[in-house]
Amino acid sequence: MIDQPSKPAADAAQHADAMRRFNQSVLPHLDAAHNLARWLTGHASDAQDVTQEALLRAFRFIDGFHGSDARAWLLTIVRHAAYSWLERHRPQQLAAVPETALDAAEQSGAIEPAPSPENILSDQHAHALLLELMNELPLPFREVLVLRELEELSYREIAAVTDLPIGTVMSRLARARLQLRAAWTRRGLEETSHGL
Amino acid sequence: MDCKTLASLLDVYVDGETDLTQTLLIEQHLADCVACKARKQALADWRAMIRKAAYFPAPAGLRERLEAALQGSIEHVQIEIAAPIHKTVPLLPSMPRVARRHRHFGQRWMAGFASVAALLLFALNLNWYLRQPNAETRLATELVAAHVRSQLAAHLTDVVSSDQHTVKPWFNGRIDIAPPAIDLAAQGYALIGGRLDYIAGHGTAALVYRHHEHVLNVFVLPAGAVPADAKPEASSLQGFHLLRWAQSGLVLWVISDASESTLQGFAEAFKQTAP
Ligand SMILES: [Zn+2]
Repeated sequence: MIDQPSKPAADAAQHADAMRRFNQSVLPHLDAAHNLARWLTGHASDAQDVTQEALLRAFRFIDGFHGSDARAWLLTIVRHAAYSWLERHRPQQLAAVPETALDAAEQSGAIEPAPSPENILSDQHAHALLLELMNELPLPFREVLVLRELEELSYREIAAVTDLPIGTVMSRLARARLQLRAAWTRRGLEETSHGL
Repeated sequence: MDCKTLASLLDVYVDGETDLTQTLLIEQHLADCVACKARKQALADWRAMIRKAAYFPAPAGLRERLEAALQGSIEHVQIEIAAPIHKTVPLLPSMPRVARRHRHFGQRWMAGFASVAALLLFALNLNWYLRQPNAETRLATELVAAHVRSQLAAHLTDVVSSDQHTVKPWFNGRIDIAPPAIDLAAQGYALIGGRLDYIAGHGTAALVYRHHEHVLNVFVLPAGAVPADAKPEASSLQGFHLLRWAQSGLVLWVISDASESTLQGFAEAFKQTAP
C-alpha cells in the first residue's frame, strides 16, 4: 500500500518501546527465570534453553503484561516453557503424584524443624546432599518449594504462577518440606554413621 | 497458644502468611518461650542454607546470547502473528474432590490440619496476574479465603460467647468499627463469638454464627469498602455463598456453605434485630 509510508517508523518506535519495557521490568529477573528453569528441568544446559525460550516469549508478549509484578508474570511463562520442554523430552517427569492429606506421621515431622546433620557434615557435603534430595522430590512439590524458598514468592503469587488453588499450594509446600526434612535427617545420619 | 500449636504454624509464620491474630499470638509466645525461639532460629538457619546451596543464578553468557536472540526476534516479529501463549496440557489432573465438612468446634488445630488443608484445596482458584479480577471479585475471594481460614478450629473465634454483651465490648479498642453483635438463636442462628480478621489490607471484625452444622462468618467492613451500587449482592464462589448488605454505615457480608436461602434468612433476621 502506498498510503502507509509511516508504518515502518511506527513499528520501529513500537519495538523500541517494547525493548525498553522488557529491559526495565523483565530482564532484571533473569536469575529467577534461570533458577526456576534449572529446578524444573534438572539440567544446566536444558535450563539455559528453556530460559532463553521463555524470555523470547516474554518479549513477544510484553504488550499483554499490565500488572505490577513482572517477576511472577515471567515465572509463569518460564513454567509453561519448562513444562512444554518436559512434555517433549522427559514426559515421565510429568507423571501425576497422588495427593492425599498429610498423615499423622508426616504431621509429627513438623514439630522438629531443626535438622541436625548440617552440624556434622562439611558445608560442601551438606550442600551437595541438599541438591540431591531436592532433585528427588516429585516435580509438583519441588516447584512450590523452589518458588517459596528460593524465589520467596507469597502463597498467592505461587498460586498465580502455578495456576493452582492456594490451598493446594499450601498442602504441597507443607508436604515438600516434610519430605525434604525427613530425607535430610535420614541420609545425614546414615552418612555420618558410615563415616565413623 | 501452646508449643505444639506454634510448631505446627511455624513454617507458615516464617513464610509471613499467618493472619493478624495468629501472628500476634505467636509473637507473644515467642517472646516468652526459649524452646520455641530456638526452633524458629533453627528453621531460619535451615532456610538460609537452602538459599545459599540451591540457588542457580543465570550463568555468564546467557544474557549475551539472549540479547543476540532478541535482535533476531525483533527482525522476525513483524511478520509473525502473535499467537496466545500455549497453555501446556500436562498440568496435573485436578484434585480429588474431598467431602467438605465442618470441623467440630473443640477439635485441636493439629488434628484438624489435614482436613483444613483439604478444605483449602478447592476454596480458592486465583490467577491474580493473568485474569485480573475486578475489585469486587477480589474482595469476595478474600472473604471466602478468610472464611475458610477461620475453619481452623483454633482460629474460629477470639472471643467465645453466645452473649452479645460479651462479644460486642470485646471489639472495643481492638478495632475502629463497632460490629453489631446480636444473638439470633431464636431465629435459628446461634452467636458463637467474634474474631479479628484481616480483609483488603485492614483489620476487621468477624462475627461467627452457627446454623445447624454450618458456620456463618459475618464480616463487618466500613461502608467505603464497597461502592454503594456494587452488584451483585449475592454471589457464590467455589461452593460458598456470599451475601452483602449495608446497615448503619457498615457493609456486612455473610459467608457460608449453607444454602443461599439460609443466608437470606439470616440477613433478614439480622436487619430486623440489629439496632
Ligand atoms: Zn513454646
